[in-house]
Amino acid sequence: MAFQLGSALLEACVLAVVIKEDAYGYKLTQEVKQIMDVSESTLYPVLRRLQKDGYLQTYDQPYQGRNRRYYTITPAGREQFQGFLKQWNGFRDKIDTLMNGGTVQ
Amino acid sequence: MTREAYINELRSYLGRLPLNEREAALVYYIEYFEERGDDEAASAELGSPKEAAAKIIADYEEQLGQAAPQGPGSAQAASVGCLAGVVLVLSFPVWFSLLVTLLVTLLALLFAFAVVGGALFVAAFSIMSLSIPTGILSFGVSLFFLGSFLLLGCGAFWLFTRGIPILWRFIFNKKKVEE
Repeated sequence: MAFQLGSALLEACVLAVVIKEDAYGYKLTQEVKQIMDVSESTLYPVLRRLQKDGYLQTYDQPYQGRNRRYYTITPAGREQFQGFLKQWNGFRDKIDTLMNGGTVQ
Repeated sequence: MTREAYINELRSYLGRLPLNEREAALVYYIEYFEERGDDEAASAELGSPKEAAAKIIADYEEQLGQAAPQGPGSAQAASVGCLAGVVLVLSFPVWFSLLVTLLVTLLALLFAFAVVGGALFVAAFSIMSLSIPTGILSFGVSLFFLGSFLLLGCGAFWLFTRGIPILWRFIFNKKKVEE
């Protein structure tokens, strides 16, 4: 992947995954990795930041004798995601236009 | 790297963080190992514990830096920290010589206790042959001195290995707030 994806986009992707369905840390990491080639150790700080900013919450659920920490989106997180989505659509359209030889308004 | 080795190393690199921050991070990493199943693959994917810890700490400190200036009293706290630094530098001759005096006194006491305790302990044996009660008394007193030596020694050890770093961080953390 030639393009380096900034931390805001990474946060947006995490929210996008969690908004569909609550996910536990490992599964969330795997899903995000499919979209962006980030190292697994980059992901924990992002998750922690989203929690601290109030966009994600965690709860623990036991599974086969071990513990899974699930991440779920908060109402503030949904709002934040909508903001990200708008920004992304605008950005994506501009890049599309530019790359395809057009001029960006 | 095995799961235990990785987690233990990570835990120690994260030592600077508050307990709840550290434990929250470790939950994620422990879960990763448990879900992955293959410890070698997991530790390869996660990167070295040192790198992982560096990222976690950097993110934590960045958030601290963002939070602090927004607080109402933090401008004051920063200037107090600055003032404290200046006072510390200017009064250097005073507190430094006091510190040296204390240090020398401490070392002298340690030495004295060790010598007196040791000498009396040895002497006690010969005193025993003259008079048993006095010999026992000598033992007791020597043990008192040896015990004090050990206690003082532990205190001094703690001071140098833990107390001073804590003091150091206290001074320098105040300076960080103003950034």
